[in-house]
Amino acid sequence: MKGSVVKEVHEQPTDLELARRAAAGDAAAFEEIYRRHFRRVYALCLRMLGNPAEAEDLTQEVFLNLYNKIGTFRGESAFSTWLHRLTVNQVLMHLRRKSTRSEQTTEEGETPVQIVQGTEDPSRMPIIDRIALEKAIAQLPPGYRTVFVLHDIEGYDHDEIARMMGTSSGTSKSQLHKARLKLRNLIRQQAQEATHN
Amino acid sequence: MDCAKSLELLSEYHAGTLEEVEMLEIRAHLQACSPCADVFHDMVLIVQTAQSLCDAVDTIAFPDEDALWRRLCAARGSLH
Repeated sequence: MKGSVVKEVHEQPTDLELARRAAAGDAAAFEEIYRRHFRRVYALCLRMLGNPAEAEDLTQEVFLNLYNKIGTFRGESAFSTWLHRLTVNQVLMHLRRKSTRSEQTTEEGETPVQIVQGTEDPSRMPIIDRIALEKAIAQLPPGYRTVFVLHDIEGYDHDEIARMMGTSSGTSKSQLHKARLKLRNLIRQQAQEATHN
Repeated sequence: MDCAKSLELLSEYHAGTLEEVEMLEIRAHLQACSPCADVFHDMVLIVQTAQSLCDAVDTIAFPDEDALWRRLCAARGSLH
């Protein structure tokens, strides 16, 4: 008979356990939370803001805010869901503060979308890869980008988006539609530029 | 249904939230109008690709995790 093998199982603490420890002042637990969630938080900030430096600043703000609020997490939802909502709210607050309206925008605060119909290329739109889409998302006007990221990437519905943004569901629907059309144009432009280079 | 109206309603058509009559009108228009069908085809691709981004972070160039942690600690000295 072979000797018995003693397995040491090092179970990772759950997010809830870490959150409780962090709330009690355990800095190592908070660092572990940061390490686990930093990428997801940064990715969300970047997609919503379209600017790496700004996304980095916001990621820092989110974790500072988390540090202050972590004691309020009760574990009623998944920690990642709670942090996701915290991040979205923080970015929306930042966007409101920023007052991003530029001279080129329309009364609705967005650039008008011109729908380009038909294609010069019989193979129609180039196959969209995720990198091309990320690049195009970064070029969207802020309002379009926020709604597109929240609805099409993060899966929020129009009513939730309207509540978070303080607008109507109809505005959210309209901005999403314009965002999609604008993305199409941006991706086509990218493809045309790539062909000419 | 003309092209302008059809294009205006494509997202709602995609979501299936239009009245049945409008759904049928747009479907018929897309079958007959290839430029509008192209726009719809591209929109579907954009939405599908966006959905695949939800948990994907492979397309993102992340800043240095340790450097950001140090910044965070400096901003909030009590984290140490």
